[in-house]
Amino acid sequence: MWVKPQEVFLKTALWDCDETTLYFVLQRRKGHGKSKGLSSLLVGTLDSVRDTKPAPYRILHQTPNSEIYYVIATALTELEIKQDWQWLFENVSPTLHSFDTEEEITEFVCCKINSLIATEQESFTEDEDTINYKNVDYHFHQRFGMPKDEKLVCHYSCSYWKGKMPRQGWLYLSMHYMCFYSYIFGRNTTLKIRWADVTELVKSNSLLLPDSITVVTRDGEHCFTMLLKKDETFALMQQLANIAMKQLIDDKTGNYNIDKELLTKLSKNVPKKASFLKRDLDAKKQSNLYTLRFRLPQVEKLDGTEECTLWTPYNKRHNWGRMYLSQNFICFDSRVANLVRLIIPLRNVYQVEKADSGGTGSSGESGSILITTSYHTSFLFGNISDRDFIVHKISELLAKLPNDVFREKSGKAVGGQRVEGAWTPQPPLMTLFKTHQTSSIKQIQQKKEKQWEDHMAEVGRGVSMYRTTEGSELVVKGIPESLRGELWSVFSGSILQKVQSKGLYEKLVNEALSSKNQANDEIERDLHRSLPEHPAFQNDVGISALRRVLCAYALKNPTIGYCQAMNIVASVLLIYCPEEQAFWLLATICETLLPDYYNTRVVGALVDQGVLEELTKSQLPDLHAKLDELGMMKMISLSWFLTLFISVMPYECAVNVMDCFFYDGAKVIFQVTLTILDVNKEKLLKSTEDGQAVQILTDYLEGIFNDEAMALSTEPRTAQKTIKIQELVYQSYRMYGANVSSECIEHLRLKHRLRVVRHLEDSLEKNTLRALQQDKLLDANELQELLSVIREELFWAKRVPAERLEAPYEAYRLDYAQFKTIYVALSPWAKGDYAEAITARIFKLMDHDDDGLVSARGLSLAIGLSTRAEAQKRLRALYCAHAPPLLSNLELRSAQLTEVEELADDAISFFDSIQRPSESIQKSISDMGDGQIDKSTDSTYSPDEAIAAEAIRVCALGVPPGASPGTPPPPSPPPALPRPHFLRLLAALHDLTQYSTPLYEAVARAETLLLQLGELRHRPNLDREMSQDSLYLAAAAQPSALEPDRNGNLEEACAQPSPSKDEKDPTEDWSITLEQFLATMLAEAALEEFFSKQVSILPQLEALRQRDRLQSVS
Amino acid sequence: MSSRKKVLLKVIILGDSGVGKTSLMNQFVNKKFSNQYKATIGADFLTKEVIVDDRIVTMQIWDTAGQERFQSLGVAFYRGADCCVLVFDVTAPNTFKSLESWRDEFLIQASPRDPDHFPFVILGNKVDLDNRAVSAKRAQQWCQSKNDIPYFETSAKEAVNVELAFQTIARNALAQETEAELYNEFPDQIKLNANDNNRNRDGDNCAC
Repeated sequence: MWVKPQEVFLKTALWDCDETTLYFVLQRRKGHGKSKGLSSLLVGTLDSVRDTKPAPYRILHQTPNSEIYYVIATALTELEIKQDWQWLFENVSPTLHSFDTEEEITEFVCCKINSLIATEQESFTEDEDTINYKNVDYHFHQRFGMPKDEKLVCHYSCSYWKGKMPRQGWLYLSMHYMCFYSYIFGRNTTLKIRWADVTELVKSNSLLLPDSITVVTRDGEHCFTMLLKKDETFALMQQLANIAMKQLIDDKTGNYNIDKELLTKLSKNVPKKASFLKRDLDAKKQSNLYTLRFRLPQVEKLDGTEECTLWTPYNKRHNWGRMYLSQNFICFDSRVANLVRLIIPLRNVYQVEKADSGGTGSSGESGSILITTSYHTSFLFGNISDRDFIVHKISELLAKLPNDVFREKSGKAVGGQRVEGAWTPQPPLMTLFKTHQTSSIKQIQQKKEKQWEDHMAEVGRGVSMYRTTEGSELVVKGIPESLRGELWSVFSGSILQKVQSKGLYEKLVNEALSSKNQANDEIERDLHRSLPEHPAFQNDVGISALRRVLCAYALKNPTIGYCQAMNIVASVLLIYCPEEQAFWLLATICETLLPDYYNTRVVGALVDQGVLEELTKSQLPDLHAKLDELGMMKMISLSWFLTLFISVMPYECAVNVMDCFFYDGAKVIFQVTLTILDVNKEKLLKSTEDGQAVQILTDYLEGIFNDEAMALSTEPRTAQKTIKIQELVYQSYRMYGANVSSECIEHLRLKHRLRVVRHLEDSLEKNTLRALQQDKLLDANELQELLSVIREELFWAKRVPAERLEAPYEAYRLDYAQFKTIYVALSPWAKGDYAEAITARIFKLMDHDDDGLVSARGLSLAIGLSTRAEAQKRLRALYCAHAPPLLSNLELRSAQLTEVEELADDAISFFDSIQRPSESIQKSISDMGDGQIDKSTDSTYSPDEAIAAEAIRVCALGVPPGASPGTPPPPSPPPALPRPHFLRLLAALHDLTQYSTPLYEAVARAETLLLQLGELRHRPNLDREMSQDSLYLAAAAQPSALEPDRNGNLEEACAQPSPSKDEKDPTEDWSITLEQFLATMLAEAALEEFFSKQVSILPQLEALRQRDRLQSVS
Repeated sequence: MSSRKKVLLKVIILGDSGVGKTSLMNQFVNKKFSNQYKATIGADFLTKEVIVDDRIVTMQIWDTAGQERFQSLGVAFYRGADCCVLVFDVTAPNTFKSLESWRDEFLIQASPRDPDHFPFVILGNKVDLDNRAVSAKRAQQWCQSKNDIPYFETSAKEAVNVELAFQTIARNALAQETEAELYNEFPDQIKLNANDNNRNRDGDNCAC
């Protein structure tokens, strides 16, 4: 990185020179890299004490006769500095010879570097703001003990009401927390709330607390007042809380790409100032509104807007409004709502020109731009105040378009793949399976088609048609069947997605059909249960198309996979749209129009139930009260929303609602629902129980009819006609169209998402606790605490998305590092020098599927076993943890190899040696964390070994942590321990008992006995199963004086030549069985007592929580 | 008690997706089988009047969505249930294995007064198919281990045992109702917003 040339005097102080030329020196800070003298150590310490931390590499400019040096470049890495060095060498050095004086050379170099900086640093603006922010950021991290990667977004001055006293101080908003700090009259007030714990944010204005923001969490309410910028603060709080919620949804379902993108973007810009982050969030919000308004792909980022007019040829007028620019689109929306709206994809733009001499009228003359598309249509924008800038901007955006790439690729892809796939995408199924139509209905349809043809002749066709009031009116009346496919795609914006990802559908289908998974099975089961009344789905043609669309989508979006109701929606789409278009429409519904609806916890649908409830409460308060009393507010409309009314209304009516839904968005479902409730209000108010109320609504919905289309159902209509669908849709716009706006829905969704996610989290936690209690080891209190520790621990780590949770506790899965943190802190077994090894053994014992992750149950069992279980169970668990193949020969061997070839077997061993556990285990496990889990697992166990491992786990725990608790354990004898394994077990036992002399001696006694027993194995005629009696006899025998000391044993084990199976090893026949082990151990009263001790882990839990807080401070 | 004229029983049908819940309900109520049902989203219900021990009983049968992701949404429908019917598909062992979790989930969510004696009925459906995979014995054993839940092997398609099963359901639910009356004296155990019959009963009591 080039820096503004600065004079330095001490060339060598604290620096080592790496390279020198006549005019330049490359230096390295002492304490970095190779040099390892005392002074360099000192410099390193000095730097970290002073917190100055200069960049470790720099380049100086000098001239032979001058004592003055100029720093011209610095870098954090050697590579970076070498690049700069290389550049200097190639570009600057050669020219320097042509100068006469050294002064000139210096001047030239400085000038050159300055100009480099000037061009490079357009975006790079470090000013006082940054320094100020850095200070605040520093204090924020110190004060609240934030992890380093927590990013402060903004801070505000305000008052926090603690009890009846307002405390003036600072409110800090960061990505995951909101914090408050004040220090007044020697009183310190700090508050730290995680966004993920917030259940509600309220802006209130009461007499007592005017203009306040109330934050409701699970634990209580917090009130803030005297905010200078209350609205801004509130909006930001809402936004941050929602990002947190989406992450929570995300954690279990996979990824939520937009927020991820934002977050990664944030993390890349670590040292940026607060206002940048804030600006970024603001921009994101603007972009969201923008994409929502014009139904653009969600990744679209708004670049800027400009007041201007749009000339509409169909009525020859200039309409005032606003032009929006983003990477791929130019959009326009009129100032008068719904008057005219326009979307021009930049990829279609052919020419942009200034149109001064157009002479089109009075107002449009100045500052006009004419945009011509490649489809020979042009759009005239006028009254642009800064026209040159806009034209410049558009051409800049155009230049960035990668559109040629798209076109070429897609052409080839289509040509190539059609041959290999054994399927062809279907045209709209209605063209293949014509339903009978009466002549009057045909006439109506034709009349409608004519109206639309006329309309489109005026406003254009396709993406860039003018969306006018007249158009909306036509939509409300119902789109003619033949045009549905086209117009749905255009209105919903799905056509844009389709164009942007050409060829993707075919690829997805080919891949999806050849794979076997749960989603595909579920889809298969529902194919004939989607729209069975339509002839297209009584036939393999329709069924196959439906299968392709659903399977392809499940593959495209694994966070959703397949959710019932999607089949119903998709089948209707297939009736009207060509297959690929239907696919993209489905994608648009799932991702944009009904976000999160179909994910694994149907979060979106739940959120919208909340939104509906709130809307009902405000619009129809008495009905809301009634439905609430009947307990059906939460349930009536779930299927209405999930299937877009298709499953509750006659099909030919529901599609009319869909017409408006694609045109106006989710608000339509809300307004139709409200209208239905409103119309039936009187009856509903009289109903006495939920069944009756549901019946009223069912009758009404089934009675809706449509004269303008043929009924699909061939069965005679039984329901009494209630209302014409066109009338219902019209009524919904008239009664609720204005009150229920898209912005309002979006706003309410934000609010209810907090509650829904919180609720889901709580119930997950409750279910987990319930499941864990069935193990009957730790008590409820401890489990509760443990779970909150786990949650805290997982909070910073990336959680694993779980497709299908076998049990609630599977949602909480810890990797080894996380497991270790908690286990070491809580378990009495992990206190000694050998703690790492024991933890690793136990981890592996609990990791029932060998994926490097242990569930919350695994952890609670692990801790429970060491604190609560009967002595026999505890010893059994310890024994099993050391049995092969859990403790594999490979690991034993690698333990011996470590001295020589440290890293050689990293790749093959799952856990490395026990001798060097802290480094190698973490290493191998952190490798696994990076997505190599599968590979390392594969290389660990052969199928036989995997079965053996499973058997051992069953034996150790009664039930493997993966199986649901409560099922009886199948009896299976644990394998005998070979000598090396047994020695490890002994080492672990020594470690557990080392603090108490009597215990230690007891272990030593038992150990001697067991070692002798192991020797007995050599005698061929000895029965495999030793009788209890002989064991006790043996136990009674006094340990001999040759008590082997512990270290001696270990050394012996290590010193043995690598026990490869081929060689005849003296230890081969040596073994100890579980029975022998247990009997001997339990014969020692001290040991039995020790392993029966009931330990409460509450103090440790408390300590761990305290430490977590402190740790994050440092 | 004999003065009571109308009894309404709320019956919930649970079970994995595709085991035939909707078909069973329709076979019982409408006496017909169709393979043209849409997958159930949310919940649906039908009512039917039956005569049990000379009493007219209205059965309100709630059919629910089977896909796992909808399981937690069922809660709203469970409220005030008098009987719970668990259905599995005898040709699909997985659907049998899920019974346990459906039962647990129901008990947790509905939290009936007396979970140990709440009336359940298990139906092994699709016995008309050849590829049977769960034996009657295995199912029976499981039912016995769960407090002797009545077990029926049914075929919604061929109307095998459907009537009988629902009769039993009605009878068991009714027996539970009668028992419940004894409990009703304890104020803390009165169901809030309970279904129709509770309120009717109160009315009747006043009239007496």
